[in-house]
Amino acid sequence: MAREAPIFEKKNILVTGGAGFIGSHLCDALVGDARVICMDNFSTSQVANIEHLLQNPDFEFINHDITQPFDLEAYDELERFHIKFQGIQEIYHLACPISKLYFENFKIATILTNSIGMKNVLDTAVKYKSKILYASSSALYGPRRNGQMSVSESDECHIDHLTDHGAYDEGKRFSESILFTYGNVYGLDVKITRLFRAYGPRAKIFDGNLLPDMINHALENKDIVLPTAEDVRMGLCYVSDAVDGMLRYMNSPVDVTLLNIGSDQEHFLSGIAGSIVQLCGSSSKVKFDTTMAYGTREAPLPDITKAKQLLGWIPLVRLDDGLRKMIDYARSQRQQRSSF
Amino acid sequence: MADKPIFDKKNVLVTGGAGFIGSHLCEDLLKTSRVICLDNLITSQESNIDSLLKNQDFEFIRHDMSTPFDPEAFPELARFKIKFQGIQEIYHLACPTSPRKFEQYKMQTLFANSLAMKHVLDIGVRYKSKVVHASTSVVYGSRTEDGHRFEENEYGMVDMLSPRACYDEGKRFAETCCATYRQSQGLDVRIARIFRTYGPRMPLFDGHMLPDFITNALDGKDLEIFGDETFKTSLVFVTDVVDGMMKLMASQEDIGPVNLGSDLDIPIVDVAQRILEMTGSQSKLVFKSSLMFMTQLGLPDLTKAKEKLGWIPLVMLDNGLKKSIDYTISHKSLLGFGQIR
Repeated sequence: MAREAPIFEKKNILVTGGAGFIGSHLCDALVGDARVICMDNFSTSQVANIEHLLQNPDFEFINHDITQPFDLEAYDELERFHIKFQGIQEIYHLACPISKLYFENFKIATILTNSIGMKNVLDTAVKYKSKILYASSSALYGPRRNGQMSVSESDECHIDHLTDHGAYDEGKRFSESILFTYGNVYGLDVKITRLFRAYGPRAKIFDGNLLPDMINHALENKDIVLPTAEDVRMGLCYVSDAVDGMLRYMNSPVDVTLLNIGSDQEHFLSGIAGSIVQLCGSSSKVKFDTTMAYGTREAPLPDITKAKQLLGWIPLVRLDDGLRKMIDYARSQRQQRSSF
Repeated sequence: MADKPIFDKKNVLVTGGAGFIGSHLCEDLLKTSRVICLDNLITSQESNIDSLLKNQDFEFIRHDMSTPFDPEAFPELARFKIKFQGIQEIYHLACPTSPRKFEQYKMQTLFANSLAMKHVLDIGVRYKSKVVHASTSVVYGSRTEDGHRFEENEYGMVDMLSPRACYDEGKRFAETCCATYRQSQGLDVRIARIFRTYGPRMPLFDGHMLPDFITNALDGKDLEIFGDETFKTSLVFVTDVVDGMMKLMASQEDIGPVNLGSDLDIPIVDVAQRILEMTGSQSKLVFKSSLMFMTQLGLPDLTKAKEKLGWIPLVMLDNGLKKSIDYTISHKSLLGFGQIR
């Protein structure tokens, strides 16, 4: 029996990709007020991200690849959540392999996650009439165009679907279509958030990403060579702000299918690098190399007018504060790595 | 398992083989190959392949490709010796296409463009088959004002949050699946982007306009146009498309997606008028509100097909219409018109 409202005081919430960078922070924020079922297969995430939650009676981890069908009522470890009677009130769907260095290895998994995986999650939502929030990506907007700095939800998405990165970019687009069609056909309450660049603790430190690489170089007192021109800018949203936006979105009574979540504050990449060097107490120099192939395009900033107006949400964490926490995390990761 | 057939004839798999285009393809392939025709018959008809069922080189299996398909598990395919012969070529055409019943088949359309695509590509990987995927002009989005002709390297504008997304965006995603399997599995998969096609066996009473023009003209009923006088379209005859797909399969190199269609833009009222003239009908044209799944499509740039495949559409509109009319007349009772309905 599916229920839209829980019988007892706490909601049952499913978080797919819950052991990932953003997913684990989301689980942190949800646990306590709700019971959280965290589903992940650790393909590009880490058990360390949720280790501190494993003893919590309101938290249960299920190791499962969402491209395979699943039945939450079949898991003994979920018995105490009384899913058959309580249902699942909310689903946050974040699962998708993401790895800069090893993207090639996860291509097929990525297209399957963005089709069959999405279907399996939505079939669960249909079964329990759950609200579902899907974490989509700003990648769908493509690069900045026509000198336009920011993109709003109504802007057209213009990307080539046959590139080497199509499994992710086009996959995410198709996921949105699947979600939209299910909403349409089954009358589900579906929400899509396009997340823009987020940063913070538990972002992968050794996966070739721009910010962690800058921090690594600063901590090693090596020069930071940015693969961009000197005047490239970007927006950075601290992970707790992104999570707060997602929570508000899920709980808002407003009927909106699509919402940008990210920071519309622009920072020069050179300035970010400078802050990192300073916060690390490093002697690294910041250099620019425009001949490097990737990363030279400026990603658009989100227009977050809608999120501000509808949810009263804005990103709050100051860049220096966020970077400080991320650097602390990077330090501890590096220590763990060197102690092996 | 073998890349090349051990015996004289190739084994070829055609999904959506009982459909409008698929059935013509099966017919042509049978001249040189053994054909396994898969279809779930939701927007296609068994009558399209009736004439092929007795052919020893042909086997029809009713199957929904959104569930996995193991060709070696079917006793009726034993004579194709797939375990030893393999499957040399796969043409993937299965996808619901019904302007009238578009709403009804939304979920099936989503699954055809994802699950079915995956299952087809997996068969391709298993037998190292060459695959031709039948994509569509809708991946370019709507036509542009100026009658622009789309080249294959353009990617147009498709809204993934529209009521049509299960088809339009789904077809884009299916192409991405092909590209991804090529990149990471080394599968030889080619993409044919097919523009609006006409000819015998187009489904009747389903919103496709042209076949209903013919039956209504012959029946003395009004010809219904879903749209207004400005509705223009290009039309390519089905045998030309089949020829293009086979040329794409035979092409030596990987040439990326290829447009197959006509670049001649014609007002649909002219087509209707021509049909009235050719049938000597006194019927009238009437205009109805447009259907979501029956829109003016983009036009193709055919340079690549010409240069790389040596392909151009050959059948002139009058000849194609004549063949379609003749087919309709000879199948009158079978098609179920000329009666009260």
